[in-house]
Parts: sequence; C-alpha cells; structure tokens
Amino acid sequence: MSKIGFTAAKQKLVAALDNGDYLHAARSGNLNSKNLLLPGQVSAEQIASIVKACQGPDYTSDPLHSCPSVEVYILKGDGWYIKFCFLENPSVMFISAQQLGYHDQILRTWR
Amino acid sequence: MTKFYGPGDKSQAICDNCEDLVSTTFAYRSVPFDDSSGSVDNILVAVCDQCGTVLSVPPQSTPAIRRAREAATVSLEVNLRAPEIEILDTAAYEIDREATPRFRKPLITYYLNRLQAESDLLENTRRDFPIWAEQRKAIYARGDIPRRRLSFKVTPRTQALFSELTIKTGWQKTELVRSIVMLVGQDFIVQPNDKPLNYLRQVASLVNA
Ligand SMILES: [Zn+2]
Repeated sequence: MSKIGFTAAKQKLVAALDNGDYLHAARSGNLNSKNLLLPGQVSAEQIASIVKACQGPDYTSDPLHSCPSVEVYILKGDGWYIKFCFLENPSVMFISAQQLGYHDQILRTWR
Repeated sequence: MTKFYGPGDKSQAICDNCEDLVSTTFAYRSVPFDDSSGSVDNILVAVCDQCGTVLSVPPQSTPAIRRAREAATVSLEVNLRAPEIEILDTAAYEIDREATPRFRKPLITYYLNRLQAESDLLENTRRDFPIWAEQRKAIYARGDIPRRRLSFKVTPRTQALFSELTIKTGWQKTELVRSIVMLVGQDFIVQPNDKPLNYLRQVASLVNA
C-alpha cells in the first residue's frame, strides 16, 4: 500500500475509531500492556480527539521491519504516542496507543 | 454499525513470525499480558492462518481484558498520621477540585516514577526524609494525632516499582509513602512548583474527560 498523507490518514483513523473498524496488534502473541486503548483505560473517543488535535509535524511513517510492504505511521501529540498501520480488513491495526514517559503508568493506576 | 466479529471470521494482520501480511481467523484463546501480570482467559482474538500465533485483538474483547487487569491488582495499605493524609489531599484538591480522594493514588504513582527515573531526586529524598521525619515526630508529640489508613489497589507493575524503591532506599513501605508525602508537601505547600502541578492537571483532565 502506498504512503498516505497526513490529512487523509487522520480522517481514516478517526473514521475507523468511530466505526470500531480496528484491531489491536498482539506482541509476540501477548497483550501489549502499554497500549492503553486495549484495556479501555483510554476510550476510542479520547484517542480520536487526540488524533484530531495532531498537526502535520506530529506525523511520521516508516516501512515495517518485519514486513516492509506495510507502512507504519506514528502520531505524537499531547504526550501520546499512537502507532498504527492501514490494512484492508480491518482498516486500522493499532500497534500501540500509549503515553510517553510515565504518564501511562499513572493513568493505569487511575481506575 | 460498529464492527463485531465472531469465531471463524477472517481478517488480516502482520505476523512477525511469518514476516508477512497474513490472513487470520477469529477464535477464542487465553492470552497473557506482555508484562507477566497474568493472562486473560478465553477472549476472541485473530490467529495467524499460517502459524497459529495470536496476532490481534478486537475492541469487543476490551471489557474482558479490563476485568482481568483489575483482578490482577494488588492491595497496598499504609497507616499515616492524619496531617500527612491532609498534605496529599491538599495537593489533590489543587490539581483537581472534583476528584480529591481519587487522586491520592495517581499522585503517589507520579512521585514513585520520578524517584525511579531521577537519581538526583532519589538522592535528595534519601538525605532529606530522615530530617523531615524527625520534625514530624516532634510535631506529633504535641498532641493526640489520629492515624488514618491509606489503602488502594495498584497494578503488579506499580507494586514492583514499590518493591524496587524500598530495596534502593532501604525503607519500609510506609517510610517510602511518607517520603512521597514530604515531596508532595514541598511541591504543593512549602514551595509551590508548577511542573508537577501542570503535569498532573493534564493527567486529571484526560481521565476526567
Ligand atoms: Zn504467522
């Protein structure tokens, strides 16, 4: 799949969050404990609003190591680190939606 | 309509094992967390059609994961003198007027993480705490000061951080929590500091959104 521009990527990502058209990638067969969206410590709506607030410079992409035909995108905004790729089905595969630094651990203790 | 998967449904994922974009099939599996804090039994996941590795998890498995996460928590309890609880609550109130007692735990976790990450802070705290504790002792000797129980559930990871710091400092759990009370007092009462305040306000606004 070819590289997707920032505005289109943002739209696609927000739409996938709205429709639940996403999956969470497992890490070597395990649940990624840093992905706060996975146990619902942050909601899809909250991630969508963080994504909406991201600017062009917050957006980078690189081919995936283990599978270079797939482009991996990273959005960094408001202390968040959101890593994902676009597929056909699901439209979005979340590799992680985590907080930078120890933010994530504080959030995890919250509820 | 929101996507909802059933066993036998197909999707795609990237398999590190097969080093390829592969097709997957949904099935029920017990899946461990990657931080060795247990596993979640029988959740719907997508499995690699080529090698059988669990590759992805749908949002509909989130409630089960959340319950498992909560079940894996450990209780932490310490007895503190009432004024020390008041220090924590004063800071919590400053951060978020809505969520005072709820904010004790994130407040403590924040300082635990900083003590772990910032060696200067740990060193200064080790130096200052015994002096502070002596001063408190003198204050508490003036009258009958009640004790209050501070009790909360923490994740296995926070529990591990607690243990690590008690080893590093040579303190008991209660002393470690009290040293955090001292830091909170310094940052929020003695010499108000914007850094922790703004940071924790940001966290509070996010969780209360
Ligand atoms: Zn495979």
